[in-house]
Amino acid sequence: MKKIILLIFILASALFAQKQDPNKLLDRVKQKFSSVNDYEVNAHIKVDVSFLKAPEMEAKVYFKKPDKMKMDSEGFAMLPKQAFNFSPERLFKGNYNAIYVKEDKIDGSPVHVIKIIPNDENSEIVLSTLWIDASKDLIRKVESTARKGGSFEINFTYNGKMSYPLPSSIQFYFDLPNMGRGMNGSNQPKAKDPQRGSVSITYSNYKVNKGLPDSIFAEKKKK
Amino acid sequence: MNSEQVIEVKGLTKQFKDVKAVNNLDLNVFKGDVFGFLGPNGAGKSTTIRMLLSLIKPTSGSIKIFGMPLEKKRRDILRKIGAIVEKPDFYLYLSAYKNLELLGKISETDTSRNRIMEMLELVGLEKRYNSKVKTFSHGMKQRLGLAQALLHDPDLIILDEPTTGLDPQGMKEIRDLILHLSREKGKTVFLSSHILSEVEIIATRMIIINKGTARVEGTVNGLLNSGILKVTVRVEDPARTLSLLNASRWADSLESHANSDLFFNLKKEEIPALNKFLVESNVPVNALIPMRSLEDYFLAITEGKE
Amino acid sequence: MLSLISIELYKIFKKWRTYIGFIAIGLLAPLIHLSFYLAGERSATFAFRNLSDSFIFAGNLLNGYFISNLILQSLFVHIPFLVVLVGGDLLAGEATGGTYRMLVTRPVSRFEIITAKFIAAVIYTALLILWLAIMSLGLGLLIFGSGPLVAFKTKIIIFAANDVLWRFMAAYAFAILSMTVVITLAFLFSSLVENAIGPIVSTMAVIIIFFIISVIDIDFFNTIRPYLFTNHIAGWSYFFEDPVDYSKVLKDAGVLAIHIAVFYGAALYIFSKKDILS
Repeated sequence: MKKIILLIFILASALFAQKQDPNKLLDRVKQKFSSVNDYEVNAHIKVDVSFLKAPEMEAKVYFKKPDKMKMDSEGFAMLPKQAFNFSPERLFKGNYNAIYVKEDKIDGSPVHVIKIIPNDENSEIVLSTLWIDASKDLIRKVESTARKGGSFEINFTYNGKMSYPLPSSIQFYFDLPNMGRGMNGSNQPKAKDPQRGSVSITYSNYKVNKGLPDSIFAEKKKK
Repeated sequence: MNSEQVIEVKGLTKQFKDVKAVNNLDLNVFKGDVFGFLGPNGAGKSTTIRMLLSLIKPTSGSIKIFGMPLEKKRRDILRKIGAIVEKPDFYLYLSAYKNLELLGKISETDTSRNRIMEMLELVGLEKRYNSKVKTFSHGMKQRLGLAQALLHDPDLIILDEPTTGLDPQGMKEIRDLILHLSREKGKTVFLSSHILSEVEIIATRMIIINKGTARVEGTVNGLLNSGILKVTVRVEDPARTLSLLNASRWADSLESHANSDLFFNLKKEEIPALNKFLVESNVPVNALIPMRSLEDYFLAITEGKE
Repeated sequence: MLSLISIELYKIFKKWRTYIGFIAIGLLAPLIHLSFYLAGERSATFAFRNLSDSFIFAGNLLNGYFISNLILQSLFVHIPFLVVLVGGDLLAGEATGGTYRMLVTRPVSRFEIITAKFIAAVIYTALLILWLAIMSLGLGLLIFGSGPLVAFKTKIIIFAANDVLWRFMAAYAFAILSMTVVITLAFLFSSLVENAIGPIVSTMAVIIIFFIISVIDIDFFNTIRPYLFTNHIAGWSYFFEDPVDYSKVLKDAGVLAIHIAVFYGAALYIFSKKDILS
């Protein structure tokens, strides 16, 4: 029921605000991102969640087109999957319906607000809202609702000097209904409480398009 | 007798739950004494010795050693006492040498290698100095016990049945050592025993206790070598002998008779005269056994007759 | 007094039973290291299984700290059974061996004897825990290296690598205090009897009973639980929380210290009054 109302609302708002073609906007974002073949970056991660307490963590994140990702840490690091790979290819992959909602402003910069509804019934995400920088074709913010329940929000901050569409920091907020259940055996009294939290990642020392070899990603993935 | 009193015990009493182990005991030991503390097993000897060494607290009574009350001057007193209480027990997992070294350190005495080896030589254990005590025979432990008692050169040596379990040679060695300590080193020795003859050989003064109470006290010579002896005469024909005797001057000395045994109370010098009388009267004598009255008494209490 | 303590230590370390604890830890800790070495990195991240839908992980949590924490948690409840072997023997062993007579007839007070033995017992306990630290933390860091420590209590806590060592030091120090309570209890029982088996078994029995009461959730048990020393001996684990709740640490340490004082005082009283008949 909720979904239907939401859908009606979206469709209605789309009818009124159909000034921009959302697919074109998204294509431009993808287009811009395609200038990045690979990168290597240092990530400084702060996790703030109720079920886990961690110090600030350092990691190295590698990316290579189309969707090879890898994280390394000399100590230990963890990242939400959604904040790990933020390439547009992943954020709005597959078939979807995009709807232009409105124009808005983030920190004074004009943005386009677009809603995406994946067509694939098995998609993890049932609905995403994207805030796209009107002048730079960068994703400034993503809000998604997951199929399993819960939602997350990603805020991107960009350093003006960067020539590539890569964020200098990410603020990730999530609200998951059943994360962490039973992770400590029976001794988990609050397992049924919704888990809220945030993760902030600061990226530094980007090395873009240096031609990362595939072997970096070939290593057995750790779980 | 030397006037310097080493041990002065008055009214010493120890009441265990339902047994009065020591009852109102007085003891006086003087400097230079080899004091025999004689009594049958269970007479209260060990309990008394344990009280002298503060292993047991007396129920009542006072103990003074070297003129000092034991309760208050325990440490000063024990520094000058060497003792073996009952069987000598050591740390079995340590060597003879190490046992002496540790005990010597606790006594805050000289624990140099020379001193310890000197002690081990004194008791004839120098060749086994490095052997663990668990490999020692009882006799060897007894010797080591003496070594630890003498290590800190004490003025008073308290030995609880020191010859128990030793072979005759070992007994003699220990006796010789005690005499040496007493005569040449001027030590006071307090020696408990349940064997009268042992005490007689080495002690100068003695006390006999039974059931926790002193029965006889005095010098060994005074107690054992004077007075009336009990003499048993075993004859072939008691009836004829009795009639002969009753007609003689020996009638007064004859105490009683049983079967072929006749019992006399005699002075030491009368024994040959009695013998002579019997021989001259043509009485065949199978045995003539003199027994000191104290020995008789001691045998009686040892056998639990009293 | 120092001489007496060193003599007591010498006696303790000349006894075979003293090494049972060291051997047990010396075997178990490397065995745990080995099993983790064979199991590999995955073993340390089992706690994150439920998170792996939403998070990805990098790096390695299987390090010396992780295993040391695990060893401390799993071995800790068993160390009492090792220290009582020595504690129960301290006085009763002298009674059995008859060496009380040699000791007490020397010019030392019973207070000194008891205190020297007690201090020697504490030193033994400290050395055993130190040995545990060497075999778990020392060996662990040598084999697996350092790194962040992941600990699981009411939530997962990850400590930065440079924030861990002091926690272990504090935890081991607390563990010494905990085990001192145990050895002092065995010591107290040891002053009562003349055979070492009795105090060893009775101390073990007390600890087992207390442990059982500690885990059974019945109202009556819940009421008496705070009064059991076993409920306080795991206070070292507060150091693996963030932030460390020092009021709880101090409370537990205080309760343990009181227990030590009472047990030691009782042993002293009993021994001072005791007629030595062995």
